[in-house]
Amino acid sequence: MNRRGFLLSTSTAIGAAAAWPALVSNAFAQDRVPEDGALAGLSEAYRTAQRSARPLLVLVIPDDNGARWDRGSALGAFLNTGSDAAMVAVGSCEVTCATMTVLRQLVPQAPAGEPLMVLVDPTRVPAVVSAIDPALPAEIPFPAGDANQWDAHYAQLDARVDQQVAAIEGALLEALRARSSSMSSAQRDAARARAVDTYRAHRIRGSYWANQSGCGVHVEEVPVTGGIGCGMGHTPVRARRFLYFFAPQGNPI
Amino acid sequence: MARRTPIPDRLRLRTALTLACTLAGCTGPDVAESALFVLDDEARAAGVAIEISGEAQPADGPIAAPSSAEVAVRRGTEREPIDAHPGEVIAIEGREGRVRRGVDAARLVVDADREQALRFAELGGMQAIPLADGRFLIDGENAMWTALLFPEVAGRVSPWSPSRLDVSNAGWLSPNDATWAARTTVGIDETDVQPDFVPSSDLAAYVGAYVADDLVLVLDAQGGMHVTGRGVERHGTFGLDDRAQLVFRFENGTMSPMRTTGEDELRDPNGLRFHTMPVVTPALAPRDPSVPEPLGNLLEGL
Repeated sequence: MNRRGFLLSTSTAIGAAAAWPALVSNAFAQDRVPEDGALAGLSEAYRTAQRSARPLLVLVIPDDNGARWDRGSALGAFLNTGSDAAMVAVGSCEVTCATMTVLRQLVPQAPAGEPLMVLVDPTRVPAVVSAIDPALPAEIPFPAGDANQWDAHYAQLDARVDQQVAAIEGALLEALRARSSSMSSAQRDAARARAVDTYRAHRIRGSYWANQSGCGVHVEEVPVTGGIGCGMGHTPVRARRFLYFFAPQGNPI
Repeated sequence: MARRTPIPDRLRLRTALTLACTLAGCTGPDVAESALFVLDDEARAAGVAIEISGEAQPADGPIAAPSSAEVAVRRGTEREPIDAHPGEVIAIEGREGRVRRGVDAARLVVDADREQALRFAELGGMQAIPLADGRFLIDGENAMWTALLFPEVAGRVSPWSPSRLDVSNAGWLSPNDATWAARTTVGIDETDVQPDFVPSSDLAAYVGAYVADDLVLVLDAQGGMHVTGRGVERHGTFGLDDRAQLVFRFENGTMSPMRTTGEDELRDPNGLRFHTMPVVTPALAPRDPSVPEPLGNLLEGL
């Protein structure tokens, strides 16, 4: 076991408890989705998709805060480490993030529940809408036992991320197969480059890119002014950069 | 009209494709290794043809060209070789035989009567949508390939061109929607389509959220219209009249023409101007030191 990490994390927890009132207020502030994940942002994305004759791919922000973290991690791993074919599919779409509540304001025929993604063909009215909702592997329970279990646990976490990426990739490629297969080689190259330049390198409406390496989370574009660290947690390498479906508090948004 | 039996998913298509392959001894085109060509009516009428290895092909349906074959478009005495990629669908359009790449393999237009169009659509769990010119848009995965394998059912096929064609019925859905059969155009006779109020592909450009002062207007992707604000809440639909003018039809039946300036501004008869709802992009200024730091950034700071 990483004793230094354990001690640091314990001290972190004590420090956090001391600042409890502020953290509670911040926690509630974090429930908000980023401002451009609301109706105006979705409308802008829809109109951009319609004008460019691209499908609109909506990454669905769950209502449940815990689910937001897990889904943001899976989608982040996919967008950062997905195959070239997957990036072609992503780049052929206009991508945005929104809750189902917001999506149904503009697309009432959106499917029930909270699928992982919703694909909208915006070229006509009524728009054709379909859910992309692959079954993702269940969470890996935290091991309670001796130190020998940690390596196996980390391997399980890594495998889970691989499975998540494969499941998302398979479902998206299937949903966009007709479109992707009709693209020329040059169009595929352009779509792949667009996915990387637009969605991997920059914010996707309704989300931020954030990084986690085991204990802390750093939201990209949010200034870092210092703090305390710990080293006990473990985040699979592929899932370290993830989609953060919250409005970072403390910023004027 | 009695509603037809709902057609299940792609199982039927798979079964049909398997049977076709078996009956044909698998001598048909290899989907993975072929490109598809499809001519529109104007090209056919002008005598434009697709040649594969120097031989002109029948032009009513899609034409499969193996990647190893020499393919060319013949326009009278002129012959233009085409380098087609496996899986690609290429349209040949107009009297000039223009080549359009990147055609959607999931959509095509059949020049058929209603029964034939529905029979073809049902073959692959696809949807048949009546078009203003009397033909039918077929929408569903592998529509082109299904037409290739079942030419006698598909009849004369043209590529789908979203810029030219208007859909004259609003009752279509994604094929993988479990309720599609109940709402697809199979039941079109039961719907109340107003001839002077026709949803069209041009309408898609208006879908979005708009504001005028404290009024919010949403034109949704299903053709619905919602106005809220100032204690007002009104609903209805939107469409184009026979002069392609945007018209709101409120729930009480009253209709209101809207003047449009481009697609970003809508003006009602009283002069009320709706603009597309502006997006508030988060402006991430340096942090105010008096505001507590997010836990994540604190931890990442070291």
